[in-house]
Amino acid sequence: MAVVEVQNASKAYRRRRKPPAKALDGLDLSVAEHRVHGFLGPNGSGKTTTIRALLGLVRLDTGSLRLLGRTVPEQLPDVIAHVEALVETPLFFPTFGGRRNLRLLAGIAGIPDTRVEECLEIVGLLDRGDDKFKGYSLGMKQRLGIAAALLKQPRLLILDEPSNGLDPAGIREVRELIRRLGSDGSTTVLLSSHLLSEVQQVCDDVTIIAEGRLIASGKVQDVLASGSTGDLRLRAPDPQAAHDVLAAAGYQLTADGDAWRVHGVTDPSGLTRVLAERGCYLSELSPIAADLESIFLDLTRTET
Amino acid sequence: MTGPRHGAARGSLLRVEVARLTARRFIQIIAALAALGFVVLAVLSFINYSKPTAEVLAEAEARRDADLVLFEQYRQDCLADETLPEEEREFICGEPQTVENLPIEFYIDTPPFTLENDLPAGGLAVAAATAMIGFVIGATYVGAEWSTRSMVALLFWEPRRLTVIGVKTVVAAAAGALLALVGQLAWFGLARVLAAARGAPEELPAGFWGDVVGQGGRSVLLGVVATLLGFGLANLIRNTGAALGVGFAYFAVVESAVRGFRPQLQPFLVTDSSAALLLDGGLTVFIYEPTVDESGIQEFTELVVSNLRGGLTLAAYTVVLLAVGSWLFRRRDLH
Repeated sequence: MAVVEVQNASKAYRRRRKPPAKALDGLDLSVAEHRVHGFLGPNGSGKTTTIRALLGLVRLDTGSLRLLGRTVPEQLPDVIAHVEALVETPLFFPTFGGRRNLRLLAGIAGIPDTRVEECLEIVGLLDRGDDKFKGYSLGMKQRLGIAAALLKQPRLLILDEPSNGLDPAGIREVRELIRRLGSDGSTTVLLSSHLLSEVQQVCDDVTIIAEGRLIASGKVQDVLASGSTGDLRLRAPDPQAAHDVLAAAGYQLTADGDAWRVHGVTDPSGLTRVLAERGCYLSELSPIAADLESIFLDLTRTET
Repeated sequence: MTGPRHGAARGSLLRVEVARLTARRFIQIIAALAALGFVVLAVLSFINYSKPTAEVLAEAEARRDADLVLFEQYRQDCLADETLPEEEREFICGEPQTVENLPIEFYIDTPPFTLENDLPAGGLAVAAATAMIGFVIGATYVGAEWSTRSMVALLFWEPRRLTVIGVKTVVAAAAGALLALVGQLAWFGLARVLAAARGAPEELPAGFWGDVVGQGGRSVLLGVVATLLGFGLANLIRNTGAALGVGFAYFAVVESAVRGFRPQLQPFLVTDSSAALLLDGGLTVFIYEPTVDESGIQEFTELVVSNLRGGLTLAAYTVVLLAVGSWLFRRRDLH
């Protein structure tokens, strides 16, 4: 079941004395249940507009939205108890402490104070809960935003750049938290991030968008495979001999440090057979996997 | 799927909004300053009024009686003056002066506190003060929500925008009412203490206490309206400082311009409507003609703006401001 469904979503922002700025242009998005879904795109590609539309903050010009099977924004009140979001910077009263800010939010949904304490503990702010929000570091603010997002124990958690401002240890904690939530069997996470490595490490699925349009979507591994070049890295005790044998057999090779990079290999077993027949043996033969960053850059460059 | 319990959510939202309002440091400071101002008022009142001794009272009465004799003598001389047109003598020489026209406190250097005069007058001053404070509280209550963008965070929990703004409006109105009510009750209490400690024996006219209660009630209404005007303006502009600036510019510039260039519109001004709502019997507005006649007199029209008309004018402004703000809040994209 898809917990988030966006179909043919279009949105243009009116601007004074300028033509409207198109933020979404027929975007489609589908997020499967109990998965961590990465939402990738360059700045201004429409990620935050999509999230704001899903949360009822922005009205689409055309298209339809569904959250947990309900139409948005009309039926959003029916599902809001099961959805939580951290959109860009956390929004809290600067002169209130973190604990008071959370308690005020929890009070709206009748969530007990004990849950507030649990969430503060999860994000490591239990001891600083009474400090004023304006005195928090950027990382602490972000952690408080995540704590707020966890208050409801939501079925769908939408996180927009959750690692912003966090130190390396904080980033790791947040990623572990997201993975934990994604594997708890009850939470779906939609993670918007510009950190491609984060999406690659944390997400099961990914949607890549550019200029408000869908570019690619699917399981992270499938998207990575689609960008695979078939290149192999090869090392041999006698590198020159290996090069000569393969070049004579018609393979394309380039130097890759102290190894060779063999391009466009569709049948690695054929390559090893050619080498073995000439008495050349290998010390390493490994596929060069495409990373999400290069695929993302290729896709978005092609599109734009 | 089990949805949130809407009734319960609204109830919780109301409690949360009350907590949010009362926890705001700026609002606490304003409340503390208002309380301090009241203490200063009490101290000054005790200094400026004194309970007259029997000797002082007797001396004052003697001076007043002497004045009454003098005034009557002057009037009789005036009526006998044949240089004045006979048919206009009564008008020119005026009515006979009585004890009611010359309150005894006029003849005492440090006058006593009188419930009849000072209680309603002080009540009006307190009403004006609480209305201004209410305007600031209403503006900062919702203005801070916009400037910190916590209004948007709130919508993650309660996406029905009209419910959110409706609950906030109710809380603002209640705050304005409570502020004005506390102000009136505090002044009433202080006035009773002043009357006992710094007053002279007095006989209150019939219906006096009813008028006091009526004025107090209208003061509370004005407090509600002023708070909602500040709230509505800040919600429309989405900024406390700008809302207060617009309010200041309105009173300093727009009202002065209207009085100067369009005097016939005075009954529609916020200040005049507020005064009309508060004052016993409403406000008499003098609308002067732009030209002076050949005898050098500037003609004017007297218009009585009743309590009801003043209140309805203010209510109309408030409703329009809140309705436009709520409509925009419901429709606008939020970032």
